[in-house]
Amino acid sequence: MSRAPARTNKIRDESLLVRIDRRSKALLRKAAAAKGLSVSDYVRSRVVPLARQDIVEADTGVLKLSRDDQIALWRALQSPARPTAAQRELGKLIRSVR
Amino acid sequence: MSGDGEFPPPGLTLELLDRRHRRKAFSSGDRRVDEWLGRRALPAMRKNTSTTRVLTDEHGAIAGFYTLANTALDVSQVPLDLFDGEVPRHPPPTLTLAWLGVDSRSRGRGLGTRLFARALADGLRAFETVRFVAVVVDALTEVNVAFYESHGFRRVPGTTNKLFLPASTLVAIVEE
Repeated sequence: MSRAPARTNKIRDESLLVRIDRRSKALLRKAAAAKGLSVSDYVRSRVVPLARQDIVEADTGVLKLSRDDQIALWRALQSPARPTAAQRELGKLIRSVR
Repeated sequence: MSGDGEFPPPGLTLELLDRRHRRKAFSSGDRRVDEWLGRRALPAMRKNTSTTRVLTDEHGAIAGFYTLANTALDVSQVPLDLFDGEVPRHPPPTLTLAWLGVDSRSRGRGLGTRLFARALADGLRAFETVRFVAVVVDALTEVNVAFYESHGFRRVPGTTNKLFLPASTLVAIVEE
């Protein structure tokens, strides 16, 4: 896998133009303001770590989640609720094709 | 219509993907799906990193397919007391339905739904030998998310395109 040389990529001389709907843009402005950041800084600080996470996931097959999401998923797996009607239908469907 | 009649339907067989199958002629209408089956699915089979099964006619034309892969869950930040004394030494295994596609010429026959169910049946068979904690699906579109939700999958917290079904639920609904 190719890796950019360290440091040199910290110079922010690249730009990224993203098409986005009006409401989402307003939302980004608001969120950035809430954090005291420019929209640019806000998007960068949020998206780049996510991109890193996605690459790790694609490379390793290990699903990376935030701490809270790991906990929520783990809890859901430990004590699954009784099967819903949709899940019982799915069971029937699986039996019909195996 | 969907989900009725024998499976695989008459004239089609379900088999492991190999080089005889006409992978590049497959066209689902979603470039990402076609590119996976056309170029990447067979090399992945050869490397033993995922398993693709295709529904094919006697000429090797592919009506639909699905790809299953072993994956795992990072639980490194889950507090120890939530493990009930059994802290996993490795990321707990999951089974991922990574790809599912139907050729646009074979739409409207319920093939996608039944391939999905068949992938889960494969999963259940695998579970008897090598356990996993959940089935995870990667949904490419919001329509697909709605499809999986309608079959009882729930969104993986913090993601927009991943859904899951606990393995214990899978076992329970098929045994019922």
